[in-house]
Amino acid sequence: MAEWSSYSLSDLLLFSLQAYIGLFELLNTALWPAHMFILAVGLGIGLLVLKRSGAGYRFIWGLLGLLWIWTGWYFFSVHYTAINWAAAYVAPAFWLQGLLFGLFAVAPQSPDIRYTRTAADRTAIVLYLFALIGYPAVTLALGRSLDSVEFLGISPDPGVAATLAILVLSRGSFIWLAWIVPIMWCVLTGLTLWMLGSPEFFIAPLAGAAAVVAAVAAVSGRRLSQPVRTG
Amino acid sequence: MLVNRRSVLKGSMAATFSGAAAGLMPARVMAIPLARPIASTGEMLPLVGLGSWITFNVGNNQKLLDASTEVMAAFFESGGRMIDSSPMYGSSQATIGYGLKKLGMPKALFSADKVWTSSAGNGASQIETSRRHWGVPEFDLVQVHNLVAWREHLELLQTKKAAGELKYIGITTSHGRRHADLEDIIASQPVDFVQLTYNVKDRAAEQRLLPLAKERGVAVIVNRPFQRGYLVERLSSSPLPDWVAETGASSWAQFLLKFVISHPAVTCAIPATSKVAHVRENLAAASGVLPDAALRRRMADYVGQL
Repeated sequence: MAEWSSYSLSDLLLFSLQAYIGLFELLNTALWPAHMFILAVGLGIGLLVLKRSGAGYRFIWGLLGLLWIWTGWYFFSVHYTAINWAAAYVAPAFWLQGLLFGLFAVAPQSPDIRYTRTAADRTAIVLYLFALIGYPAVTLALGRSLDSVEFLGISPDPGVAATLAILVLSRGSFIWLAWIVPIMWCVLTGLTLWMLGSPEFFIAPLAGAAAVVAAVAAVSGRRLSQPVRTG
Repeated sequence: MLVNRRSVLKGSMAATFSGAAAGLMPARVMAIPLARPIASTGEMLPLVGLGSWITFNVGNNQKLLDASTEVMAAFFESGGRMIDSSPMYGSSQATIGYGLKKLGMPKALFSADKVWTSSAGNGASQIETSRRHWGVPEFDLVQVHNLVAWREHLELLQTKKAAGELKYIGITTSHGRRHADLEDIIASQPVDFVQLTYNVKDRAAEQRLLPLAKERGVAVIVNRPFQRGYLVERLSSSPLPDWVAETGASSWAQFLLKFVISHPAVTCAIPATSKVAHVRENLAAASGVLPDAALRRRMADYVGQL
């Protein structure tokens, strides 16, 4: 398709906001009451992080890996692709992200996840809780019906926000690799919702921006707190 | 040649547009929209059809599938015939197939689809997949979508037409793209239809493509008559001028459609909608009086000033 360059982004949107929201109605109906189980697991992971022991992070990476692979398959390949054939090309990015988290889970030098009560880490906890509870609440407040709101584990956006929160709390040499796909998704979903005329368009980009700012602050804070060697 | 309500009723074409022929909603009286002949055969086609871009791409959502079926039912009740789709439009073809099955495969249907693949070898299988989605025995019209691999696909379509597997073949573009290539194709290839973008704001086709199509006896399908709804949205804040009342237009959508279908080279405009009220309003634009050349100029000038 050599003429793709002559299409604007809006030309490539072949579905309406109504059809997009209808997708979540379909998923929520099909998966209920899995929402309660996911919420319980999500809160459990939050408590694990807040223990500040660093224990259990391999388990968290493993769960995140499963979440991304599940989202890539169930949301993108099975459902979203029905109204957006381009979703088939996004699914592999989610699978790769899932595999990366799988590697984090089993690697000898697995990235640590640690909460240290800094402002950056508190932001991460707020973002995590937002992904778990705030996302459905905000989408409800912005006009969605209860059966079409987006939940962690069912829709990609809250899952990406939760992932970014975990990444802010993470330390490891290759952690930067794990930021690429989530941030790209925040931009893509924001653009998609904006072009669809959805009032929710700002949520994912704002979550992405908050995570980036928090991560930069966290890294800077850690560097400043390291002892300085002189001669 | 423009066929109005009276001449259709008097003529032998009446059955083509009658409710009985459509086999739909017997309790309702079928409207008979204005129609023009397809130049290559003389078959009459109502001036307003139904597009499926975006609006029918509803996936597996039962509620939206049923809503789309209601739109199709209203379309046929209002005397519509041509429904247009493409493999590019997500689940739109399957939605049309779902609706047609529910409606008992209306006889009035004029099925128009497209072939859209850069691989020439995949053209035939893609058309067959599309046909299965629609659930029709064969398409009335298959067009090469957006000139993609057009030489190879046109050859395939010509072969299918010669074999009696297609009634008509055509080629499409949109958004004013590749008009020079389209002009060459209209001038040199034996196509029955050409589909292009034309509306009160996008009038490039008036310069060469529309006159050439008329001269060559090629029927013209117009996409984006509302610029994907943008024109109706933009104009809705302005008053509809009193002087269009003589055409019977009572809304901006009808104003815009009447402008498009009143061009003598245009055979059918295909606005897409997900609302029953809108599809009735669109079909109603193909009734009453169509603007003449002077009124068309006035309409374009008026919109240009807003």
